[in-house]
Amino acid sequence: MKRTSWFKKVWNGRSKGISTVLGTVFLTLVIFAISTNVFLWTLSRNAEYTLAVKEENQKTADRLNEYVIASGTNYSVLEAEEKVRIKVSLKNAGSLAVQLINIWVFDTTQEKYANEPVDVSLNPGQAMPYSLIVALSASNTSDFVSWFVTARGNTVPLQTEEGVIIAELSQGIGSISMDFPQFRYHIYDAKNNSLGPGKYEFSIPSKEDTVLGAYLTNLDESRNDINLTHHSCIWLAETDSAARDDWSITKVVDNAVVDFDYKILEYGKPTLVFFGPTCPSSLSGITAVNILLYGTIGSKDYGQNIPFISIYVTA
Amino acid sequence: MGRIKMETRKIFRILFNKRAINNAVSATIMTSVVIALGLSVFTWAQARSSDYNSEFSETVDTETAKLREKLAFEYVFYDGQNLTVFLLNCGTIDDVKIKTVYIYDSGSAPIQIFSDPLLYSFQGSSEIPDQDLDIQDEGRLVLEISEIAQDKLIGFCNIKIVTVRGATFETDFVV
Repeated sequence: MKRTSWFKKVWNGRSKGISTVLGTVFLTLVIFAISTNVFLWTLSRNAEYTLAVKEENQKTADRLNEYVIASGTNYSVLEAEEKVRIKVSLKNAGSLAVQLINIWVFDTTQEKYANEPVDVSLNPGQAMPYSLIVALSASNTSDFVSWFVTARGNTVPLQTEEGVIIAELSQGIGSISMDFPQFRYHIYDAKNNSLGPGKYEFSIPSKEDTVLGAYLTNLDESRNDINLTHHSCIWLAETDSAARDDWSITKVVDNAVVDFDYKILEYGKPTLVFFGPTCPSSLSGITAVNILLYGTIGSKDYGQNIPFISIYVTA
Repeated sequence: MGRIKMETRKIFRILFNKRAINNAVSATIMTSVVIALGLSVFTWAQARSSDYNSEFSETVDTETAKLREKLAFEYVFYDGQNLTVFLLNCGTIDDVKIKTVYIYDSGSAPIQIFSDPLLYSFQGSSEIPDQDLDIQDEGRLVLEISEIAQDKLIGFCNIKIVTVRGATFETDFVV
């Protein structure tokens, strides 16, 4: 018996079950179309969300990788103008460009604060000195805490560690520090009143007039200026005998020695101070050196001896 | 005459013999029902999926917007009466509105809640007109601490800001 195909049966009008088949196919198509549509659409939205999450994660990573060092901060209080001048060294030690948009200055002594918009951009590895003036009524005794705010929302504290360490040291030994490698002497030509080139040595000739020079830095805790008077001097004492000699504080202008009146040491500013001229003819060999400083600090008397140098006096 | 009879019988048979017509009609009805039912199911499913799509879309948009919000606390200052909070919108989306601010004491217990606090400009005392922060905008909240809360606001405290989009940002401050 020949089997008739389903299609032929339908063609010949025997449509039993056709509606069931059609309905099933139709419903299957409907379900497939809708579920595919929903699935693909959900997938695309998920992809969008994942992309947004990715972007935000990248931004968070950037935020965490921002690394700016603000060091060597120096505050100068301009009391009359009710302003504070800030000098700081900036370095972008991170791998991303950084934009500083704001600075905050907090006077911890008086509990006052101020902020100032800034516009500093630093490329990776870039270093630069930066100074600005912030309107803040502070006094010379004020202590400050400051920080920059970056465009990514990070804060960069202005570091003053070095100052703190030196200030702590200065509490023990006095308010002035000396830059040892910068200690020098000059041969003095009395006839022409002129100084020879500076020699950065700790041995000086005994047969010639010499002018001694040292960089001194005022590290007074109260940040007052130090005014050195004519009593200040460098004093050399021989170890083997009672021989002594001294170099009075002096002033050098345009390489010539001029009459000394006073010498101001501003807070935090290394200042070259000269002593002499003197011919240490009575000295020879190793000598102990004392830099004897006397004057005023603010309105008070001030005296300090820096005894850490030794000089060899050659014949 | 015989021919007329035959034709009449034929017409009569067409009109009154319903055996084949019944099949056709039932098939048509069934197909129509199936198609109608299918269409209605399709429409209903389409509507449901559309609803789901729009709900999901809304959720994704909200979550994405929330994700893009980022507020940085530049400074928090308490003068004994007012707590001033300096904010920066460092996110990637505009119109960041602040809904609620919570202040917690050192034991993490909420001591005061502020709803829809006013946003002031960073410098000066004027209010921000649209009361929101766009990208890279800076603003200031001045929160008046109640006398009861003032007594509890001691030591290491915490402030939490909730935005209208639902993002939360918090920081610690010391009184």
